[in-house]
Amino acid sequence: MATEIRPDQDQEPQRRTFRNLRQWGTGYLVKLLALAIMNGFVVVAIPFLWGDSQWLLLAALVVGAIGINIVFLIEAAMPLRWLVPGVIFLALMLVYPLFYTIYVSLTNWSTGHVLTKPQAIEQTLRETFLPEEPQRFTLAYYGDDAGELRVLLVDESGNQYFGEPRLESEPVVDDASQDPADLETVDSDGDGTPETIDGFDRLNLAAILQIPNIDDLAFDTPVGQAILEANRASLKEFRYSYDEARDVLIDNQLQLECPADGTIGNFVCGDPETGELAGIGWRVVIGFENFTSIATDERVRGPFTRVISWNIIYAVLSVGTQFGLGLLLALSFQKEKLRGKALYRTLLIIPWAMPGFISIIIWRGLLQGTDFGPANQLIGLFGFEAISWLNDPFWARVSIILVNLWLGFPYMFLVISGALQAIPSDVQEAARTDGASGPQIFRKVTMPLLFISTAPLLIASFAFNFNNFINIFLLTRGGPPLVGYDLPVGETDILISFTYNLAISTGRGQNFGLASAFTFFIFLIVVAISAFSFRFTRRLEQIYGGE
Amino acid sequence: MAASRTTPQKLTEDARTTRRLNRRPFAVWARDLGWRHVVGVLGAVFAMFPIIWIISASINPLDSLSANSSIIPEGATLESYRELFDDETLKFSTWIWNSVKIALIAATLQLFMSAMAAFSFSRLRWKGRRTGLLVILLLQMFPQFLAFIALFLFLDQLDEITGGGVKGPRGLVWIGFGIVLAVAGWFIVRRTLRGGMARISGYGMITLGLLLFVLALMDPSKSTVFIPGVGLNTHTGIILVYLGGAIGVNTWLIKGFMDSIPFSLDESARVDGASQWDTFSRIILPLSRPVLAVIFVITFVALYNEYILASLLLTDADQTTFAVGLQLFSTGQYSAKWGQMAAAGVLGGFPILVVMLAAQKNIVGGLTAGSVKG
Repeated sequence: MATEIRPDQDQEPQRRTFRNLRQWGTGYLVKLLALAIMNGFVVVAIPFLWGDSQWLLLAALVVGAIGINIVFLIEAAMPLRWLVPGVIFLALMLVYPLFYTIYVSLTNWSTGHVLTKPQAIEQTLRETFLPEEPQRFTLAYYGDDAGELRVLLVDESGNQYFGEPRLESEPVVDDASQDPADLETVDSDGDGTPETIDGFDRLNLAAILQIPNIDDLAFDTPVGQAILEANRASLKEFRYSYDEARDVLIDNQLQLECPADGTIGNFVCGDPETGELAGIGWRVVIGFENFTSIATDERVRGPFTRVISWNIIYAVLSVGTQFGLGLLLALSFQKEKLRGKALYRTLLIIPWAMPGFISIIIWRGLLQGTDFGPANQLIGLFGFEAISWLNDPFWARVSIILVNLWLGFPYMFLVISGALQAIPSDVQEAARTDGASGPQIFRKVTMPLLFISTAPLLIASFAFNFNNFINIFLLTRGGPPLVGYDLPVGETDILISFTYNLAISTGRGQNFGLASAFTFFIFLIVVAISAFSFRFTRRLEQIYGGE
Repeated sequence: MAASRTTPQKLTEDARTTRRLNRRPFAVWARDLGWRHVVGVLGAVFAMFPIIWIISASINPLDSLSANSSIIPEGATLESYRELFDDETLKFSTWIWNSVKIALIAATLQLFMSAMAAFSFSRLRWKGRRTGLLVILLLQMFPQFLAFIALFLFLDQLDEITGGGVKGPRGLVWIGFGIVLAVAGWFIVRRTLRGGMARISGYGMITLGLLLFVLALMDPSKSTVFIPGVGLNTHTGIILVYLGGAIGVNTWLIKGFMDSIPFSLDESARVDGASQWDTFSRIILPLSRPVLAVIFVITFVALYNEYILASLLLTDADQTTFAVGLQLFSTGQYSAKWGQMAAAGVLGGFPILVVMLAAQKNIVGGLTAGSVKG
């Protein structure tokens, strides 16, 4: 970079031709090389993304690559080069995910519909079943001193398969089977079944009975998966086959035809309305179904309205209490001569400096425990009864506001102190000479001026607290749970924590589609707050434009 | 003797009288200053209560949550701190190391990208500059974590595409690196004056590059990951995600500071033949050091504290950060071990606390200036 071509405006830059190749300069060559490498990566990535149907990402990648080439090859675009690294990541890790969230909200992406259609078919086709008249093998068990187990399967035509069995629940092992003919075998009694193969001795009945999990063993032969029973093995068959031309899944066990239903992302056997679903589902675009279910489905709308109303209360109360306490403290320390002012200040801002996640976990430790929790013991000293801080719906909300007050008041205190100092004292003195009393000056002069200078900050604080996930999640995890709803939702859930649980919670499955639809509402609210904030600051600028 | 005895006595009495006359009644003191102390003490107790409790719990030998014991518990011990490093289930040192590593790398890169963008906005004049600034302002209204579902799915897919990184003989990398180094050295030698430091280091690079090339050629077989995978449970993945927040409010703050550096400096540098890059790296960056330092601290602490994305993208107990790990530990089956929890909180939190307190004046000043001016 240090030897990059200079944008000498005074000098006409020399045209680069192949004839003056030697004067191209190192920096330019390095740049060309770097661009070529990048373009190579992009070209390599295109078929991958194409095959994976990642249209949005593909378009972003191609547009981005063209943009970077332009910016680095055309001299006029020089100033933009400085933005390239930051903008790449801004586009890839912020803008693209925002749009991708909206795309996901239009799909049925959830547990059972996570894969793409080809992936889902591939997985479905792996499913096996045991037919009524399966192909049989004779079975012999082998073992060594270390307790390792081997099996030998022989079919009717004499083909032999030898190898290590697996548990039925474990995934298929591709090359588990070997031909005993390739191995060192000892058949001393000549009955056709070797006594020793590859150092493993044949087990007698007593030893066989001691094999752990003997009922759950399977073995993968090149002709298919075999289920092991006491003295024989049975070959499983694949349950489904797929007719690509007709887009139909055929159930070999039940002898059913199951056409693909692209609107729900499933194979449906028999009647399209009432038929059973077969195999694994895939994700499809379902339009605005997630949004209509939020608007109309009572099981979804109920939690949503509860969550959003508490979310607003939470944000308002958080800002209000933080501002109130911050103001009280700032006013208290406005006095010039107050002994220990510096010490008070330092102690008061410690909650702001402490990492939030640690503070919240400490608070949970303080509040939890019905009788023996530290908080309850403390209020017990004053004769109050123990409170179920985190498990009672009302007190859980009080706890959350209290903890958020603790986390947020120092910042408000610092900001308000600064703002109070910035208010010119002549305004207050003018009011005093006009005969206003102390409280009057405070109410009619100081407060309005304070509000004006801190308003943008209050709006920012509201926006921050509206999505203040960590406080809710680490303190109550949204709980105590609300009963009677299908969705995982709690009394203290705010939109973002509710969405998080909906998308990720392992208990009731992951519902990325619906969760993204909820996220879209958060986007709308953020936009609204931002628009309000912009208008507000612009109005302030008009009033105080002279600054 | 007598005179000398009476004089001080008289003086003292005089002083006492004046003091008594000057002393305000208690009511006045209370109205003027007293209530301020009451508010201050109450506020300080509220602020300090959890902090004192965590220190007290960390030296309590009983792993107890009790508030009954005195602040310094009976038989105070540092046992919990020792267990912190011995206990296999609490991977304290792993988590701290992960947190510090991720936050340090991401904060450095973020700062650098942000400073580059700010340089362009502050020093260069181009069409769409104002629009660009406005777009940044609008975009940073959307905190990155709001897109957590998409980021999670995106990284999950990147995992499949990159397949846990590019594996191959490590020797190949060293061979390639050796070639690049030698060629770069050759270019430097060709373009610099005889006997200069640059030329000497160019020869050094050639030698080192050829040496690497030969050494790597001798044993290129070692197979290992040489381009780390991007995906879930990788540090590369989460660092790249965090870089998405590089351009934002910080760019505005840095730009604001850079605007205050006189333009005549750049002009004289250009007359002396400095390139844009020279102007940026040798003049503007060093002069912006105060604002860069503050923003580095803010970014580092914010990334250290980041929870929502880390909890989604780093689920593996060995890969996760301190914030996620501490929560896992505090809710898991070991939740009764409050002594260790408290010790972990003290060790993992207090260094940050000290740094933030030290930088407090600059941070709050800068933030309010930025947020008020928007």
